[in-house]
Amino acid sequence: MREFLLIRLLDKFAFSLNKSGINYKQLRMILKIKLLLDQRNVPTILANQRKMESKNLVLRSMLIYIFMGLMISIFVWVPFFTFYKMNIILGMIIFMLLATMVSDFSTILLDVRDKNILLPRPVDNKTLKLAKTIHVFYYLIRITLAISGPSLIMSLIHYGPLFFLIMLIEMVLICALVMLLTSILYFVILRVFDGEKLKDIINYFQIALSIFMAVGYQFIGRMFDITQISVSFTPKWWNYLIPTAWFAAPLNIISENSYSAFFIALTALAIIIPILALVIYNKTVVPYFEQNLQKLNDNSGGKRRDANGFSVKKIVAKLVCQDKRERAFYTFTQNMISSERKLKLQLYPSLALAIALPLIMLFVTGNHKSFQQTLNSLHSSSSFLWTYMSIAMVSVSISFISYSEKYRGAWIYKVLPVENPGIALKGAFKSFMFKFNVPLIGIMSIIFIILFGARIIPDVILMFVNMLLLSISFFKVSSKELPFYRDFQNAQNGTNAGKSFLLMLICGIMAAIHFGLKFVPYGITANIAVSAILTMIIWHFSFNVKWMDIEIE
Amino acid sequence: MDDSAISIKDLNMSYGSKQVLNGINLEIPKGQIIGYIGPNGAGKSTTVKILLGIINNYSGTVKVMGEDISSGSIEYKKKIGYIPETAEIYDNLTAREYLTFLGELYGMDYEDVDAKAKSLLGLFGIGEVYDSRIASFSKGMKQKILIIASLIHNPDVLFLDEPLSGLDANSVMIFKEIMSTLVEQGKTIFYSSHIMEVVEKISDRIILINNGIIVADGTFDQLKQLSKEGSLEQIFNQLTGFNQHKQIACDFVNVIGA
Repeated sequence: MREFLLIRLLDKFAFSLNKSGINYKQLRMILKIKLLLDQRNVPTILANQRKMESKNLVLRSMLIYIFMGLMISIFVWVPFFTFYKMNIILGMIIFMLLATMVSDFSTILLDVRDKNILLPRPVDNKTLKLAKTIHVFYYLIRITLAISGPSLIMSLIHYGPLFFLIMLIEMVLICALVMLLTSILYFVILRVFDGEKLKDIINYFQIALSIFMAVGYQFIGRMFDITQISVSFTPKWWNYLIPTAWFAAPLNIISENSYSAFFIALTALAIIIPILALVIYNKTVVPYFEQNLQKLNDNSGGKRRDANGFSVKKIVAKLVCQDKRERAFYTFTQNMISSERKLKLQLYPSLALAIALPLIMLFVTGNHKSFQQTLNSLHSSSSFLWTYMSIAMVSVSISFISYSEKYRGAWIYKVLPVENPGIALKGAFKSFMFKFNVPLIGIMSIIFIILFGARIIPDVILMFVNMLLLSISFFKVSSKELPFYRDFQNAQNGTNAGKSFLLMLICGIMAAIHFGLKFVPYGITANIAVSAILTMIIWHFSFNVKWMDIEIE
Repeated sequence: MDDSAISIKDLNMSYGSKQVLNGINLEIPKGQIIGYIGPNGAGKSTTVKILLGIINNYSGTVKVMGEDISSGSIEYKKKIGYIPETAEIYDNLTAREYLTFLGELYGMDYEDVDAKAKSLLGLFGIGEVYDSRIASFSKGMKQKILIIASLIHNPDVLFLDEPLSGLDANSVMIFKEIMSTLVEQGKTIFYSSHIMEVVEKISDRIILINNGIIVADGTFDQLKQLSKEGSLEQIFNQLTGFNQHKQIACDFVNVIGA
């Protein structure tokens, strides 16, 4: 078996480590196992990909980080004032590092299994701590290199070796700072909340990271319109509070040759604060962690609000589901979605993208017009039809309700005395619609009415009805599966991929018809009527499902 | 030379303001199976975790195989084995990877652990999954891996927390036989469980704790004299002051039927 690079590197120091009281043989074994486990864990950044057993996951996620790094590095070439530019570049790098650390690092830092597996074995504390520290730093350095590497190389070409060198040193300092910030975050969360809450917050960070990636792709390509921003820089006091400003300052000194007191003060901060951070980290944070890790497995405090109370949710549930059992599935689906972390991690970014895309289209394709001009031009344009992109995306996302982390719990369907599985499907479908599609498209409609004026109200109604039609159609043609039935790991969207594509196409056609009918008197009204009737017909036939039609293993 | 396998004096432990252990005193000679029982939250797991060195902010003296464990020494850990109650395993590893890793941590040679682990899996009838990931195992198979992991380095003292959970009847018989053979060889087993029938049958001595103190300590026969009742289960109920089980069961059934 080929040894890990890190291990081969460490072997060179075996002698001196042994001398300083470390059991090198054990250190080596623990690290080897940890690295092996890393290869088999799915990192957040790859969470949306399927079927990756046996492939080297670490390598794959590295490639994606490098790609992100490349996109960030494009900014090096933008003709901006260096201070601004480096603020943006470093800001993005720090954000990416922080988000990856919080989401993936948690599995390294907070592995409670360590305590039960390693502590009863004859491993001394010093060795174990060193192994953990090396592991964490190795991880951080690897990611930092991947994300900042491209920018470093571009800077070397663009600004020369001195600039490169200083930026390299800064990356080390940034590593220290990120490490501390991540730890402080955990520190605070562990102090205030219990384990479940911590897992929730980690989950939100993972979602934020995914959204940043998804929306970021869209933005970066279109970003170059903003190059016309005029550059006149005046130092302000709050600049001292922004970490990226500290790190951008020395780089600015070199490239612009401006040795003002302001930049020199910032540079001092860039050096002092990370070093201070490391000291604090070692003195206070590390010991505290050791004590509080146990909390992670402690689920005592996680009380939900009393479900017995009088709530809007319950009234909606009663209104939309007349049948008692259907309502049970409706509530069940909503509860499941809001507690399934993995499902949220995949679903929320795609929903966020669905909302963001039309808005990006609206403002960024504005052909060098100013924001105000774009806004004025809206009053006569039909670009609200971009909403159909959102409609297509939210309709497809309905297929997510078949997936669950806890798919093994699905045995209940087979045991329950439900003669008509259509009830389960209907409840779940309605639940998803009222939790996501209806409110999301509703909010978008309101935003668009505000932007475009009251004249588009009929259009908005038509789009809303078309969304219902599309959702129910997709549900009708996609393979019938019970909610929360499938494992994410074996999620094979192969069967539904073709149908998703078809749905996109139909959605495009709907948009085209919508646009065409705007020029026909009463065209929109007629379209609303037709779409509504179609929806009702398809609705009527969608839930006549027998157990035989349901895909069960 | 000290003859005690485990020696605990004035052991106190609290989580925040909550006192979990209230002065535990125990002398356990080598070559016995000790049944360690008590209701949920009585402090059983805490005691075991202290003995294993997982928790170390206790007060009192704890010695395992004559060695004070608070000194931070790890020598004694070579002589102990542990089966945790919940299946804490790096289950992304294969059985081979996991077991050889642990064996090597005990200072065994790779070839030696590998051969031992392989034949032990074979003896448990799961030799064919030696190179499969533990995540894919059934509950019983995982339990067998935990058992092998706790014994592979031939420890002198064993801490077992519900070691039979998930095992089929045949495997249970094998494991009980393994335990009594080990004890004949002079090993000590610290056995905690909620299944009273098993504890009653296998233990040389039974220790019952409640609210962080020992409320009974002796052989099964001695315990029987303490109480009028016949089975360990009934003794357990009586000593922990629990006597409403009939009433609660009755209420329970009534609620279902209402």
